[in-house]
Amino acid sequence: MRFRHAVFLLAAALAALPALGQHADDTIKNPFTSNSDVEAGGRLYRSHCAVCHGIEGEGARGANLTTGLFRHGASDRDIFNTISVGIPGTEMPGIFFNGRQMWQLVAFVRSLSQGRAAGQVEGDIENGRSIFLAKGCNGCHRVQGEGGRMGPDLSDIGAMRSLGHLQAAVLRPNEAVFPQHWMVRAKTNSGKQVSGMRMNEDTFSVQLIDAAGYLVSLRKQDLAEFEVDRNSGMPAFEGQIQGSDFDDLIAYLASLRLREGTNETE
Amino acid sequence: MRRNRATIVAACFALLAVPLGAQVTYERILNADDEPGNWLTYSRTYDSQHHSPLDQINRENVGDLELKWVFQARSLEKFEMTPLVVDGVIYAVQMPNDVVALDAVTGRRFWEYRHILEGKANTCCGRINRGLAILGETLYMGTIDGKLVALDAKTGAVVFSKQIVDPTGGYSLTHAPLVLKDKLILGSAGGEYGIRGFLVALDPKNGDELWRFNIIPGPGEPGHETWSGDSWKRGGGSIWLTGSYDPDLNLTYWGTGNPAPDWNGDVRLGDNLYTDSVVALNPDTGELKWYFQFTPHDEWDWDAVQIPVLVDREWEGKQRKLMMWANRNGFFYVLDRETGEFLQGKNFVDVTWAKGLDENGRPIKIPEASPTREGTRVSPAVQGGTNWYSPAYSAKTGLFYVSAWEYSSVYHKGDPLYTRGNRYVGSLPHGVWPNTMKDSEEQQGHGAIRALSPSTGDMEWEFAMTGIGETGILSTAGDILITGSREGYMLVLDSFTGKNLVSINLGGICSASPVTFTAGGEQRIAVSSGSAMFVFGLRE
Repeated sequence: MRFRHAVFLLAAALAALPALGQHADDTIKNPFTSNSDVEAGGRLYRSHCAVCHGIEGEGARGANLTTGLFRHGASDRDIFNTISVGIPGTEMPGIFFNGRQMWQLVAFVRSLSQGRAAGQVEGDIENGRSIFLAKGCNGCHRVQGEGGRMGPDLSDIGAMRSLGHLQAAVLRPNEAVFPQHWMVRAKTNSGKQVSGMRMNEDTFSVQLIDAAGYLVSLRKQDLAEFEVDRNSGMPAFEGQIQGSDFDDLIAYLASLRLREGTNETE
Repeated sequence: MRRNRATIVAACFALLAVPLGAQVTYERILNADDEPGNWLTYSRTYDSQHHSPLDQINRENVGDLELKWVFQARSLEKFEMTPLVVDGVIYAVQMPNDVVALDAVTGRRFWEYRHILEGKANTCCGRINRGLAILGETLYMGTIDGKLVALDAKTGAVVFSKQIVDPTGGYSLTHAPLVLKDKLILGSAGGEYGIRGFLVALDPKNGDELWRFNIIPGPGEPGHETWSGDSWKRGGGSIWLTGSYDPDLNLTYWGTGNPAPDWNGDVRLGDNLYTDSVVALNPDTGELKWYFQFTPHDEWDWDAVQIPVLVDREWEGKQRKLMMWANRNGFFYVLDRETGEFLQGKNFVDVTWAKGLDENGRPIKIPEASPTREGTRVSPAVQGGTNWYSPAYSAKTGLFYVSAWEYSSVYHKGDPLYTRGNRYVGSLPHGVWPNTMKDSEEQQGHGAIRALSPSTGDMEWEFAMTGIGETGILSTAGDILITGSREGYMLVLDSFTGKNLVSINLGGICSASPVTFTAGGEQRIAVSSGSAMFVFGLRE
């Protein structure tokens, strides 16, 4: 009888703990979310986190923190634990800050995705979409599975990029071209011309997607000519879209955001 | 019944035929070239030339390599460790601190030691371990949670475990200890966490401290005057890599890490001795014989995390005891290792922070290259002209081989914020890796294996990569270099010309330094990629 009682107590105690392997209790909310907390968290972030995650959370060696998607749990408590403990098996260390500082960091990390373009711009989203199609943007950019593939997929671009970045990318696309969007032009030893968007490259080979949507892998030893163009293949729209049409286009882009766990945009 | 007894007797004879494995003495390590089929210490030999006399695999037949076996670690963290090979047994470390003993012929496991971390352990750049030491029948490992763990080499059982440093203060142990006579030499990592670095000699019997040399000298110690205020208390000076040893001079040489905070030198005015230096110590006492500081008052994180390469050769008509050092700061140095005298220095990558080196080897800094609030673009980039991966030297070619990175970073100066055990770096650089930044024109960069002439400092040849390499270089008497790349290639180059003889995509970042050994009398080459170790031999 006493044994059964002990088993019951143990079961009750276990039930009170977060299940192992599951995310921590998401009813625990960050108690430090004021503007000054976010600012304090930002100072800690720049000192400790930005080396890997980028000064705006854009990611590099570490994960992109601007998407609002957190692979190791998205609740405040999950993010707290990830920062506090680190991620075993990766270069992400845990840190030794006190509880308040940890929460301030959580607040700042949250602000990196909340401060993105989505929901921050005034404009007619529907008209923006019409302009997007009329200007032929969908010839190269894909949204929700429709469109070309020679430019970046934009289905989640509103979550990933700041307003300023979106505006600059439309007006002056050469300002920010990521390596996976550079263009490749090559001629094989047999004289065949190949061009497309560079998806990957190493010392001995290059992988790309061509205008017809074929995935192409080339060995450099088979190439007579090989050139990587770090400029964007996209035309600059500076002076090409006037007044409210430009704001509407940006509003449309800013509205593009994947919902967590789905492939649908909001 | 008789058959059973005969079987047992035969089995006993068979067991006797298995090499029992002699004890690994200091004398065996000292004379490592007498047994080139083994790899008994981090760099194989005390001169750290990372060159093997084995030549069964050579530039004529290296195209006939085939995979013999693969060791897949349980951990997915990439290998940065150099295994030991002792009489047919390979001792390797799975990240962070699990040790395995493998049969060198089949790759099958004899035993595994699993290290349970007690609490958090902050490490700068991944939970890594770079290798083990062996003395007698005991293996020694420093752990990221600050312990020296001694294991029975035959079973993996713990002989003792002793706390050496406090991980809550940012200290960790990542490099392979160095066995010297009856001592283990070991130092602490943690320069990005505001530690006060040191080297210690420990008693292999129990881990007791026998002497200590403070990389950051305290009050009353020479060099303390090179630190303003109390900045010495958290001045950095990590030991990331195993040192070298000259038995004739009875000196052990160690490279020391950057001062803390990395990118804001305003709070630590002065030269900041003995950071970014090589220190030459008497291994019996820890007494400093000489030092040479490569980067006084470093503001770019250019720690001297390289292996001191010791070479005896002619220098300007006289036979001399030299030390060669391709430094993270972009210069290739030749020193006299008896006195520390600077003999020559020349940049082996683009350098924009100094005009050159003066007659004593001190850099002539360009003031405008210091980090600023707005950012200052400087070459080399923050990972340096090279970094921790082992260079090599071949007496046959007379060339020094180094994995070089050619690119730049933007160095920002920020407010250093010290809190115990946390990062203490004073802002950050932009452009940690080449070809990842948006401002593409300025972020072009690449890696290369470069062969340098020690007598002139000039580059004799290079094998340029599209990406970068962070793999150590192994030179062999077969006139080949074995190395790798972050792209995942195992590379074999001709040591005379740099011609690429073999490239095999192993799929993961190649970080660890390759080693070579014999298994069943045949030469093997082990290259780690990702969290797996691939072992190659000639096709049978």
